[in-house]
Amino acid sequence: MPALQLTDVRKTYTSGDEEIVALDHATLEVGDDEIVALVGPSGSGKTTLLSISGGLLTPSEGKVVVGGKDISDYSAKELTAFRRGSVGFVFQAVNLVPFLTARENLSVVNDFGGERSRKEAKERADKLLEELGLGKRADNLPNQLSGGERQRVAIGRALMNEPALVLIDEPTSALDTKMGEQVMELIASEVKSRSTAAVIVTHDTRMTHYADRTVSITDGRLEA
Amino acid sequence: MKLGLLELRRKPGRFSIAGASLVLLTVLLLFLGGLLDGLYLGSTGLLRSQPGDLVVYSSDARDSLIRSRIDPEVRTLVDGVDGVARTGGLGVALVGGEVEGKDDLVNLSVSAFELPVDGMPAEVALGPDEAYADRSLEAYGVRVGETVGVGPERTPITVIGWVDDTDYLQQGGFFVVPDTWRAVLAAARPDANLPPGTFQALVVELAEGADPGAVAAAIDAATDGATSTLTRSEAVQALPGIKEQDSTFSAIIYVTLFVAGLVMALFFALLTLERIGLYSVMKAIGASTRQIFGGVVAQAVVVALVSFAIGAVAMWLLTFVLPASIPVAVLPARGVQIAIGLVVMSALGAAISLRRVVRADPASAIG
Repeated sequence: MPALQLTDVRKTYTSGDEEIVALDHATLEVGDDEIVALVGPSGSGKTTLLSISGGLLTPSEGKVVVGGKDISDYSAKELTAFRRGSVGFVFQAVNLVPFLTARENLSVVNDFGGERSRKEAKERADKLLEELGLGKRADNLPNQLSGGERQRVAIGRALMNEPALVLIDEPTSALDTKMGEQVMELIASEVKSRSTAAVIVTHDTRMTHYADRTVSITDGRLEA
Repeated sequence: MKLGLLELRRKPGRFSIAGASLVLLTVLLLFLGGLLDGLYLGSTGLLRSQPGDLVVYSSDARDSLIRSRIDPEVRTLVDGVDGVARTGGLGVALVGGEVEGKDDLVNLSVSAFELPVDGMPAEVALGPDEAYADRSLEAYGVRVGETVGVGPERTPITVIGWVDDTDYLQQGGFFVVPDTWRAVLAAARPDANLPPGTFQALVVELAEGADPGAVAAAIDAATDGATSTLTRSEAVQALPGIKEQDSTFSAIIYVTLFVAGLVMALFFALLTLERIGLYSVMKAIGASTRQIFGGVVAQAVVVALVSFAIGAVAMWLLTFVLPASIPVAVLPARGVQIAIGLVVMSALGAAISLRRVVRADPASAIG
């Protein structure tokens, strides 16, 4: 079963009398352990595609199926529950909760409605942090971590609820080349080891070789 | 909710401005409430401490103790009413008292009594030159065993014991035998000279099982309308200024609570504005609006409770330095009322931010 299926997805906005097409008849399929790099210039629709795939936006037309669930017509409440259990996000700005420790930034996802007990969530968080090389930093707040460490905590948070699909937005934009490569290697190994699919939005064509394939997008249209 | 409380624990400084404001408002509210209660207690103690359930005034007195007159004939009629177990005469004279070693006179409500009030022994044996004094007079230099010069003639009366909470119209309770009271009253107000057996009011103890309302009506009927009989609480409410005091102070307290709600509304509006990005991220990773909003309200409630606790301690310390002339009584019931009001208004104030929380867009967490 593919992790992500976009079928003829369209997203439009109205600005005054004008209709702006952010995504134009996008069709994309991502296998259940495939890493796809999505590249394109600014304003090409990468973020819109990522948002629709992750249930942050609803499409104007078309069908969106994630992990076997058709979320095209989900209500806001249903999308919140869907995001909790089926999708993980790694944001460009990392966006860790500043007053939570590294461990708590992972376990908070379970607090929002996960199925694990508090103890199980803590154990899973600690295990993930260990795998990400942050075992000794579990009790540190984000402002006590380096940029790369924060990025790794964000990756752990995205994997916490064992999602079918991880959506990663510009993971290396704030990192130097060496750190960026380390993060991309980590993403690739973590995603592959869990048979989770990932879509990585990136400007940086030096990082696309970590993906199984690259898809380009320009002016809202996907190119093969 | 857990997240909101964790933020409060880890970053209490963020809430210090709201907290400090609420501490000050708590002190103000407790002071206002304390003044209201202190004024109430200091004005109504004489009546509240009476053992009887009913108070009988003359009907032309408009429920005023000082204007009322109950003569022995009327009293006989009252004694004969079904349901009346016994009656006791009550009278008061508001005079000054000279305390040894003090330049200023102390304000006394010299009260005649026949039925012992709360705090007196069941069988009271008072001489004509002896008195039970309210403990509030201790602040003015009155001591057990010492003599006070009472009224214009400085009648020497020795204090033989204390009673509590018996003040009348902010004047210290001073309980004497009826003849002594009449003499003090005659010296202070020759126009108000009362013959023996006449009191200003009667306190009525009911027989077991008697209905206060029914007995009150029966007394007024038996005296052919010469009396106006009230329950003790009605008599307290009828005291001059009590209702007006209550409504005025209560209005000020409610307005102050409203201000507390405004403070919290403003604070949380600004805080929510600052955290809208974080709320968007939290929604993106699966938090519901209800969970986020629950955290905001929980923060407001905890800030209110902690601020109240600190404010209550500050007010308690303040009572040690307030002069005795400021009648502040900080009562637990008032404290609870203010705490609840503060928590409710704080929660409502924080709830103003609900709209903003609802509108936090999870899609803005990306890009």
